Amino acid sequence: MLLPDRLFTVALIRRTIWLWIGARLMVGMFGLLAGIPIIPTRPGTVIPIILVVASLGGLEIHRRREFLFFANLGVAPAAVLLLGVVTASLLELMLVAANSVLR
Amino acid sequence: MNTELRADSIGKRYGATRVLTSASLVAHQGAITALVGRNGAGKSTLLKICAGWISADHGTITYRGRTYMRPRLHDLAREGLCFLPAEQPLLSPSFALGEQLQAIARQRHNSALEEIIERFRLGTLLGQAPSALSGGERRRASFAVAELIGPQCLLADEPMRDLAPLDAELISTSLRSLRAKGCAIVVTGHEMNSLFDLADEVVWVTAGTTHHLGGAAAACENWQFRREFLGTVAPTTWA
Repeated sequence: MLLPDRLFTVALIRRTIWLWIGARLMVGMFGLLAGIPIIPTRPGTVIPIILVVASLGGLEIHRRREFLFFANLGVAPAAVLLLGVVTASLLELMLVAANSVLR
Repeated sequence: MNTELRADSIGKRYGATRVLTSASLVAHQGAITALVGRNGAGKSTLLKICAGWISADHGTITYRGRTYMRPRLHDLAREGLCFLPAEQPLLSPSFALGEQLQAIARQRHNSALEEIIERFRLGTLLGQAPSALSGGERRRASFAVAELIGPQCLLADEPMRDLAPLDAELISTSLRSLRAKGCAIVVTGHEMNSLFDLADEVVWVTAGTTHHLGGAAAACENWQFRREFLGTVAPTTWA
């Protein structure tokens, strides 16, 4: 599967990282208010976070009208969305690892 | 002439409105096809379907010998097709123009970046985001991208709309240059002088279907085309 040039790939990864931080902060704030763990790492929480982050990334690409730009370069929308899923998954994996070490 | 792109029996409906019933289009290698018709006739829709940007209700697209029921732009782009839409900029608003041109040149191994920047007079605009550019500048930048990509087939929707004469001339020169390299080109628009000057073939979109009128001179001699599309501005210079 063809990926965009490194300039665009790095920017898409950076964008996903910010979205993931935002999503995790929201979950943390909700956890704080509800009196539940602020860094939940159960699959029931992790998978929806990954999906929400990837979806928001997709919406942002759509809002910036970048799908056409990438398509003209031969990059499929699925490849761009998958980049978001992989990035968010890696970040979740790192968080789970960090959480288990700190416990 | 080799056929690069062929659309057959294309139909498209938007809700209750049937835009295309049975349209066809052929783009030949090293030729410019002008797709003309009244506003709302379905020119842009046909072009988007040919590019794989939207899907047709029925019909097939054959690109470089391969027939697609539902083509996708990214698949066709990998085979050398480039689509320049009318209503949205081709470039990403997230990066400076220069960065994007460099990235595309790097990905396409195109060493003509400097020459293309100079030819499209983009030198002073490289640090700006595409969203900060004027319509004409954006159109020039889009054609610079198209030349960097080096397409086998270019589909350009209204490339000369609302352009200053000098910018329109730059776009015309670019289209001629791509044609000389063997690119199959389809352009739409209402700028009859510029389009007929460029066109090797004219296709008229009307009543949901297409009429292949031949060259610009033959098109001007078609009485129905003159009566129903050109009207009183029917040019005589190409006839």
